[in-house]
Amino acid sequence: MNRTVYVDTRQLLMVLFLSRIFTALTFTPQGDERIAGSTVMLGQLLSCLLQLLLLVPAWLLYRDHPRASVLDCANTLNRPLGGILAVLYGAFFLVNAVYTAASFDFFLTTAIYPNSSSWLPLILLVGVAWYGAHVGIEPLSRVAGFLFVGVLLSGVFIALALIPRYDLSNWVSPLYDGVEPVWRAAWGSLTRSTELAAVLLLVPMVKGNLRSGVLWWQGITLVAFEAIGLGTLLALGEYAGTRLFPVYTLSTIAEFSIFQRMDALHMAVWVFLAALKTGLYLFLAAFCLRDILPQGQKKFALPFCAVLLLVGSIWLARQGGLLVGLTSPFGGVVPLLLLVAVCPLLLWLWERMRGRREVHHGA
Amino acid sequence: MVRKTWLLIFCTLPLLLSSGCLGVTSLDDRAIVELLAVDWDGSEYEIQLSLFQAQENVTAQAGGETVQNLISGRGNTMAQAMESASSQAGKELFFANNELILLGEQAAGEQLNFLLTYLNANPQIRPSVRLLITQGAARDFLQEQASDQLAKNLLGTLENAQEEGLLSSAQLIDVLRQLEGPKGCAPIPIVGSGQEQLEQVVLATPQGIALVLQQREAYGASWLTDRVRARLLSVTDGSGEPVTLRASAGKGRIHLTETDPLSYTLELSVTLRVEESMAPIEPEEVPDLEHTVEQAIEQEVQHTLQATTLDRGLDLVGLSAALRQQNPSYYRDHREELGDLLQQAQIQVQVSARLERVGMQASQ
Repeated sequence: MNRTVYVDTRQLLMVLFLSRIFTALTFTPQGDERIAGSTVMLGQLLSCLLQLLLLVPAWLLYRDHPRASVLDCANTLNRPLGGILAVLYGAFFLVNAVYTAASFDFFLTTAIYPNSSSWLPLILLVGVAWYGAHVGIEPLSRVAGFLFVGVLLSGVFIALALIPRYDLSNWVSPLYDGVEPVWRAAWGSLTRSTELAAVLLLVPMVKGNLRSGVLWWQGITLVAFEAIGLGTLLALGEYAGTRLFPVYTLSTIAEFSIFQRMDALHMAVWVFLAALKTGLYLFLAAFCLRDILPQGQKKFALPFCAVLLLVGSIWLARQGGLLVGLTSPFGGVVPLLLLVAVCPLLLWLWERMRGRREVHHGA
Repeated sequence: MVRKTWLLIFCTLPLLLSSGCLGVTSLDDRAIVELLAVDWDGSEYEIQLSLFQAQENVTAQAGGETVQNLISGRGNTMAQAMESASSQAGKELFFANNELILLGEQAAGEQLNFLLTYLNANPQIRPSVRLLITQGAARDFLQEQASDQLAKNLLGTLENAQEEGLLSSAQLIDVLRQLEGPKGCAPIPIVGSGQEQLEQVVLATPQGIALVLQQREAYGASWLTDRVRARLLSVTDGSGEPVTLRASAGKGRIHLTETDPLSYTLELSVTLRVEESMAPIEPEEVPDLEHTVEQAIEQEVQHTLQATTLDRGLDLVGLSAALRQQNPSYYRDHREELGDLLQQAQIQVQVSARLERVGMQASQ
């Protein structure tokens, strides 16, 4: 957990992209009250614009401090405030790590191995995430490089195998049910974009042009989500709404030559994505905790977070309804708005006001 | 750093590989279902499961003759019936290899919607599993068939009939998709006892069986609902000699006229190749052959549309989906009375046939 390591913006882009794409693979339509596929696609575009808008305060802060994370900025202004923010960000990342691990378990014990024990996969996942967080962002981002190629190839393969099932008549106007479902889809997508908060903390560890990296990340993620949405819509139509995991269903009906179903491919990719995302969030949670722990006790940050992750994910995996609740459009967006937009905006304003006062006093 | 990266990848592998160790059930404790048959007697479900068995076991048990390995279960709900069958087998039921589901006539007639929902919600059952309705009880049909290869044989027959354009795929996913929307209906093949060929197709709605299609209507339904791969058509050439053509087509496209929301044009593009003819097909004969085929298919499709949509208001071809897509405001306002409105629809069928390969084999 050395914060002076550097990752390339392309590597950062791949880590964030893969972390974000994980939510698509386990997306369940119940959370969005069966919004039409084309509406979700339009909502995705709107969500992308909202995400860029949310990052404006962070960009203002970054413009003044190109090598400082949001916690560094807060610590410079006021040390207790930095501590409070570290707790808030740390809790946010830990909750998201718990949610990711619980979703992994929920999918595994619902779609793949119904009625099987939820202990073993969670223990193994937390173990891998712990090691990933221990080695840090650089090895994680290198793994993301391999995984990115794997995700791309498997996605293209499944998309091609589904060609006979595409039916253009499944497409309906995204505004068929009015504007409200588009907003709901956009909020839902925004709620799942927890990587926005990760960007604010990873700033000091990235070399290269972060702004263009973030724009590329948003662009590639949007294209990938629209492609997944279009594939699901054309291949499944409204039938997608009857399936618990529509994207997984795509892989079970994809046939090509002797390959009768491709869910094993989907599964392999998805396991690696779960490990990467949980590892990333565990790394960030421990990173925040280290910020407030006294010297000499910092080494306990990661084990402490890992234990909380294990206990929390086992508990959450047993509360199926909560999994949906965490991603409900309005249930999860408030903390994200606070941490991604409001905190950086307040810090930037504080800095501006203090700067102006100092100039005023100097004059 | 490279070493740490590879180590991280290797650490993730046990997570991937150990997923097979979850809830371990050995092969001996699994009942691998090849075919599921469901009956409904008005109050209870009865299921029959044809299980996979190794070939040497089959012949050893029956003294050289092949027999089915059947188990059954009963219950007020499908879950209870499954549990009962599992108890009888003393094994855990495993459906991942099940490619065919037989529905007894009464079960399909009275419980279709519930059964489809149940099958769709079962994570083990493939969305691409094929459905087949039996005349009478599925139990009786199974007991009359002695072959241990029943599932395989029936699947082969279904695939052949689909290739020939007699029936649509009738996969669970396709049936559910066709039943969506107002007045949705799906063609499902029906098989009688001792029948080698599937010659009948029923039109199912969420409420049950709405109509039994005649063979000509079944062919028409395939043009409308599925890709036809290899339909053989017999026509005569300019000199009155018979010519056999192999026709294939994608699913038809529907257009609405801009002025009238109940006026549709159905476009069907058919590719032909000569399968058999007495004499070489001359280039000047090609347009006439194509036109003859176009007329034959148009009549078949019009006949089917008359019997299903115009007479009964059943949306076989997906007119409501086209209306929703192309005139959403009208669809929204008239969704409830769409069945009646479809009966007043003007449907123009435009078939364009193209003879792609004139290469033929002359018969003696």
